[in-house]
Amino acid sequence: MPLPALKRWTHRRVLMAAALAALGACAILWFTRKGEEEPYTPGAAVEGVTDVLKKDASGAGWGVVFKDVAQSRGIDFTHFSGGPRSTQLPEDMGSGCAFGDYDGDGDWDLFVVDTIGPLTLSPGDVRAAKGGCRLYRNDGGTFTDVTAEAGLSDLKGTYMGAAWGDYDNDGFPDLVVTSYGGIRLFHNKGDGTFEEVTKSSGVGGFKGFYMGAVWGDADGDGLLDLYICGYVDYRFDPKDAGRASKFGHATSPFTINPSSYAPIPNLYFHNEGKGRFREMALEAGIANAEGRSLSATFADLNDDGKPDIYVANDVSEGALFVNEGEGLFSDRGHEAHVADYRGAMGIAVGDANGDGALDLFVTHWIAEANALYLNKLGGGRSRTLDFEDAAERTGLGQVSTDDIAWGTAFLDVDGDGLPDLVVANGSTFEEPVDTRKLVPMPMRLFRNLGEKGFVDVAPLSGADMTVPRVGRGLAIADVDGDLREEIAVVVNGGKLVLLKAEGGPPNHRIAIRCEGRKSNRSAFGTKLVLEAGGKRQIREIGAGSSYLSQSAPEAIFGLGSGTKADVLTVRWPSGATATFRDLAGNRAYLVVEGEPAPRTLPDYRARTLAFWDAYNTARAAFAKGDFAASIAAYRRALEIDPRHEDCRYALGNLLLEQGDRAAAKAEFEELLRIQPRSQRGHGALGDLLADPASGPLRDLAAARKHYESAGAIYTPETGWVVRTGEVALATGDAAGAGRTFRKVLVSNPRSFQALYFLGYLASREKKNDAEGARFFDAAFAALGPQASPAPGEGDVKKAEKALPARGAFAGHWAYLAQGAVRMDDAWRDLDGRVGRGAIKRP
Amino acid sequence: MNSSATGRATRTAGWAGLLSRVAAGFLVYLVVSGLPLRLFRFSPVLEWTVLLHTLAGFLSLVPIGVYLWRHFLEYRADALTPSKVLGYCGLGAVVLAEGTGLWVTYLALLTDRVSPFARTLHLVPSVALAVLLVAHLWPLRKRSPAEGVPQEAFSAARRGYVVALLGVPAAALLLAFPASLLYDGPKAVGRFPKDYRMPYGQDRPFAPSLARTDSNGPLAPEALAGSAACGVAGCHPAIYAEWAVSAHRWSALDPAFQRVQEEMGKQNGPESTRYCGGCHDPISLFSGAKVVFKEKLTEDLGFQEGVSCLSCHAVAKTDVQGNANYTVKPPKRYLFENAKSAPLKLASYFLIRSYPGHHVNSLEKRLFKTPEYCAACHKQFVDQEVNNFGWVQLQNQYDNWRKSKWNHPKDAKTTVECRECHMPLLDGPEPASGDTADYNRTATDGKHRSHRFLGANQYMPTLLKLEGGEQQVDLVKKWLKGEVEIPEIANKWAKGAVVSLDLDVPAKARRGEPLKLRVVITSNKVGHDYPTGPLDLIQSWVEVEVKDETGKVVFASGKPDEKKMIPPGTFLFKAEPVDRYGNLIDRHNLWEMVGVRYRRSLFPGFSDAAEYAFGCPGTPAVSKPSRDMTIPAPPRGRLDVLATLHYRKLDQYLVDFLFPGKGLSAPITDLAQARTTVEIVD
Repeated sequence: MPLPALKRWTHRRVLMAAALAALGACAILWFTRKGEEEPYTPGAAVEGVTDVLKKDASGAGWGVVFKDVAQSRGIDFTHFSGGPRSTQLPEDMGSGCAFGDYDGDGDWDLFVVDTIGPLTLSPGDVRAAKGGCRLYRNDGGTFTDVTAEAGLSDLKGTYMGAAWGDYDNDGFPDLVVTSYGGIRLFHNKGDGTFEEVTKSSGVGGFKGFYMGAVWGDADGDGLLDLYICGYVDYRFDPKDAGRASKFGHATSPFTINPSSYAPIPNLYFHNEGKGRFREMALEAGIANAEGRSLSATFADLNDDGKPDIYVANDVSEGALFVNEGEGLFSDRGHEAHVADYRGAMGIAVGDANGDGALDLFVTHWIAEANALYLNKLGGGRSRTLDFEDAAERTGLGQVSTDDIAWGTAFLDVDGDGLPDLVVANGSTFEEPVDTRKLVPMPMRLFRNLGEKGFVDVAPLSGADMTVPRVGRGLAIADVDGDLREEIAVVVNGGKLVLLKAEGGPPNHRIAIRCEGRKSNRSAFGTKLVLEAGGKRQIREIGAGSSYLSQSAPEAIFGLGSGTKADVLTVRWPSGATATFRDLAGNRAYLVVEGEPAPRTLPDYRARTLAFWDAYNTARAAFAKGDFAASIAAYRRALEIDPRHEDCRYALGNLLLEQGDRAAAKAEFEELLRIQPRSQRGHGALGDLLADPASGPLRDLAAARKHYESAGAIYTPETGWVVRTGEVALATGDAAGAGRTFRKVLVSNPRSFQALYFLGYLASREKKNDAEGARFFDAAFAALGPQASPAPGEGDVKKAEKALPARGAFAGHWAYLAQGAVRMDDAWRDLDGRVGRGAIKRP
Repeated sequence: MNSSATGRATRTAGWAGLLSRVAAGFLVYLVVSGLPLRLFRFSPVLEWTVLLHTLAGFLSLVPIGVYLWRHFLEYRADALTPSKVLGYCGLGAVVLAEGTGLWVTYLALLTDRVSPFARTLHLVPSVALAVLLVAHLWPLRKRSPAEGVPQEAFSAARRGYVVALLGVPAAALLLAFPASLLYDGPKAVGRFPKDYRMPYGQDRPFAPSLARTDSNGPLAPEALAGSAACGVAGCHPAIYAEWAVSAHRWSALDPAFQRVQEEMGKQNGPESTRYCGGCHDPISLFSGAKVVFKEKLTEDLGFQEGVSCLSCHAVAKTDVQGNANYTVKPPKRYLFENAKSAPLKLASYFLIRSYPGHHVNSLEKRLFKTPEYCAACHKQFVDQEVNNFGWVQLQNQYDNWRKSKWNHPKDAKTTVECRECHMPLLDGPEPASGDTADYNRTATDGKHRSHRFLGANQYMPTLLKLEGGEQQVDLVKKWLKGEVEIPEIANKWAKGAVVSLDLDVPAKARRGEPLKLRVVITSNKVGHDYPTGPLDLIQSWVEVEVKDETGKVVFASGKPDEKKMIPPGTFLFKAEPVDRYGNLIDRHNLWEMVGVRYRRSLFPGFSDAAEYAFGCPGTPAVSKPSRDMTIPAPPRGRLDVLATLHYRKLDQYLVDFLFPGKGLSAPITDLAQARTTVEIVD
């Protein structure tokens, strides 16, 4: 190889190698460069900081999503709708809600307590305000506001808590409502209405700031007594406005700080029978005058068959009153280690760790962890009543220090036999940017993992669970009978939320309700022990008062993958016990004291399917012309769902067609009672009342009223106008009828009746048979298909519309339907049917 | 050893070296993995091949570059033999193929499309390379071992080379098969919930809707959802934004629909709401959400997306019967199309853009241009299955149009079809621009069809507080007033108002005598009836107001009352459907409808007249409503007569029923006005 070429070659190689080396060096420098250290940001994750108590929400096997169904189920409740806050303590404390079956139809109705607005409202403002406490009647899972018809419309003010309890054992739960002001008691008359008995019962003479109310048979006499929490002696003093004060660890306006005000005693109303109560808190030893009490619960914590009382006190020590019998209590809060100094709000009672003893869960203020007081009697860890706050080690403590927690309840969301916990949160602090509002907080849903404690699965349970709200009261009830509890949350200054669980593991459940005979009829204090799949679960009916609220007195047990309860033991407050074996799961039972076997309550799923089966059977039978079978099936369907409008309407019409006019009338009237704005209900009932064939039921004036009601509901419609025209004609008002029918023709130029009767009036009133004939022909032409170049809305395959068949001239239509009728004959027949008033006859 | 012998030895070592083998293996793999994309049908195997091909293309850049550079230097000084010429050509092809490969990758990753030109430019040198490679390497087969190289070593080297050249690429090519077995893209098939009942027969799982899937089985909700991906990938953002405020998008989100569905579920049975699902809520229908024991009859994705992109674009067949008589065939989705993580999403976008044949073929059909396609949902009826009575026609835009002056089969110059008005052409960069099959368009028109589907709902976009809702409402209002211009059909569409009003009043009237006032309403631009269904809840009416010179109203008709209700005796376009007992269908309870008392709407090009003076009806057809009006004494001077045609989407009763206590009211739009004066004489 010549030298220069080699040199060139070598040079190139050197150059290339150098270039590659340079590139490589650059690459190494680039990849190993050290950037500037990022500045420290407060709150950012920093290596070296750990949080051993924090648990990651484990989604394994959960899959439950909660949806807010309040609106779709008919509850549109806005708390504190009367105007912005005026920064006063009572405004921020409410309110609660209470589930109870006030009408005895088997499903849980809901009473929602309202704080109507700021305390600065005048009495006139309060009266005029739209808000107020509300009673929602439950009909198979959907709610109707029945406040007015129940006679509870005047509960407008700064109301706080409520509780249902059948104090007179008549089978219908009565209602107590507390407020910043006093206590009101309503006796349930059993007919869907209430009578205020505040004064006559003896609970009326107490003025104060009263919060949680609980019913329980303290002395075992079979009559429910009433325990009421007294909070503080709040009185607004203008000089306090704008002052700040220390509230726990924070500074807050003086007037919303409970520490600024002295506590007031609790009240204990002993049921003396015959609707009379006597206040004897001091005598019983449960006045707890030093406690700023928010909630209290009856619960037999030492399992001696007598209900004890636990009181959650705000910024003062909690109290545990052990029932010593004879209606006397002793304060054992300190020795049982539950006399807690933290600001306590709500209480849940349940066996959190499955050791057979009732534990307490108490919700607290911010920076104060919620408490889980495990009962040491369980598993024999103590001989005397003693508790251990296990919140930290079970994962309930640390996580809740961010929360201001209120209403709470144990409920087995996933049906695995371990009670989970739900907590409503919401601040007492004002929004920094808008002090008229309070700071909202997300709820917690703690899944019970057994040995591993609890973990917050709210973030896994749908946006409706985690959206921040100013939560206060919380109550649970299975409102639609699917054996899963819905969660109602009252939101201070917001809409009531009803959370329904969907999805989750395919576990089975069983629901138990109780009714006392010798014991109080509400069966409060009844202890249930259920054994299934080797697990023992205990519940006490009526225990756990959440915050200002009351959950439905029904125990729903999760059975896991098992499909039956092996043994159910019921221990009544009277001391009687009953044991039942092998109860099939996926059912609800009612255990009545003294009865040998539990009654089976209708199964929701089966009931729903049975309804649709009956309804579809009715429709199919109708289509086949088997009307008797159709009527029977409609009736079956209505027994299951008496408020089903289509079913009621169809049955009414069918009965009418079958000639049972009285029964048809009753169905239409019921339809209008269920749905006063049922246009078709008014129309059908009006037709029945206007028809001469209805004999003694015929009432033209009433018919006209129904037609006019139909018109008021749907003004531009022509059907009701035609019918009022017919009534006018039937009563002999020719001029009125003529005007009415002409009005019809503006909107509906093809109205058979309007044209037909105008023809009759032309012949008779104007003596103009030619004009009459033109109308007569026009009327029958209008029965033909509507001319149109293309198929249009409402076209039917049949060539002609049918003649009308109902109403004041039903008989005449039947006459026309016989066949081709000449005008003269038609008019002559009509002569005999129009009113004997001013209409001229030949 | 002479220099040429040394050279050969070096060269021999060169071809047998690792770099040579690697480079050759990559080249062969790239060529053979690229060609099937052109030759075979879309499948996950090919998608994986695209990804592997792209990866290999990147990885090959350095070894091929270095090898070729060295190879070039090595042979540069040699005489120009045919083999060397081929080598140069090959070099050019490699450079082009790699270069265009990089370009195509860039386009697919970072822009909205890979143009056919770019793909061709990548393909041609690749194919050329295949030929050149074979020709260039062919002589090598006869090569003998260099001096001093034992035959065995040479054979081993040659075997190694052959393995690198053919074996490794073949193995790499086959790698796509196990990959596709491991993951072959999102599944369209769903599962019915265990409570799912089929009351209309096991062979009709979605009945009473006529909509069906090609398998007649359920679909996963995701099968037809994911519309946002069409817009946010930078591909069809304009179309997505148009659709996102359109009635198709909120067909299920619409609170009025939700409430009616809820009522129907309650009163007529949850399963019967499948009737609505075919058109309003296909995602929920096909995923089996309409069952007893379900709290919400609309599934979340269905709720958000309504008639999603795929709900229409996956339709394979439609029938002119209407009532959602269509068959949906969800396209095989690209790998990672429903993925959540950004890199995987990018991979799916990359696949769609770089390998768009399947995307286009599965989602663009000639069918979509036809009015019959729209008719599947824009024509409706109820029959025995629904009302337990018999067949009744409901809204039917399709047949109105078909029989109208706008339809001249086979004559594109005079026919105006659905898409021409409701999907006018818009400018803007869009991969979907250009269409040679559409008679208004060309391949390079740079336009796309609007997916706003402007129609007559000026209520929901703002009630739902949709982003861009106000703009949509403004456009709908302009649309209703005839203020939207569509240049491409200007020569065959009408001009001016959608519906025009004319006042027919005598210039002078005698005091104290009846005055006849006639308002003539004419359908001018509308392609179907005006108004068009559902006429039980839509209202369009004439308001007339006559004032004297003092401003006092001497006659009025059609003025809504304080409850926003239209008074009886108003000239009103709507229908009064009734149930079998003659009572009004007032809550959109179509499941009880058996016919109408009357229907009043304007056929395209037709007129109707509202007359405000009563006379004996000489014409029995009575299309002229009447009302008494006598001029009261003593107005003097002139009367001012004003007539207005109002329109609203939902009647007030229904709004009150569906949303009690909310104080809601559908907005009223005035389509046309006419004004005149009448002189009063003695």
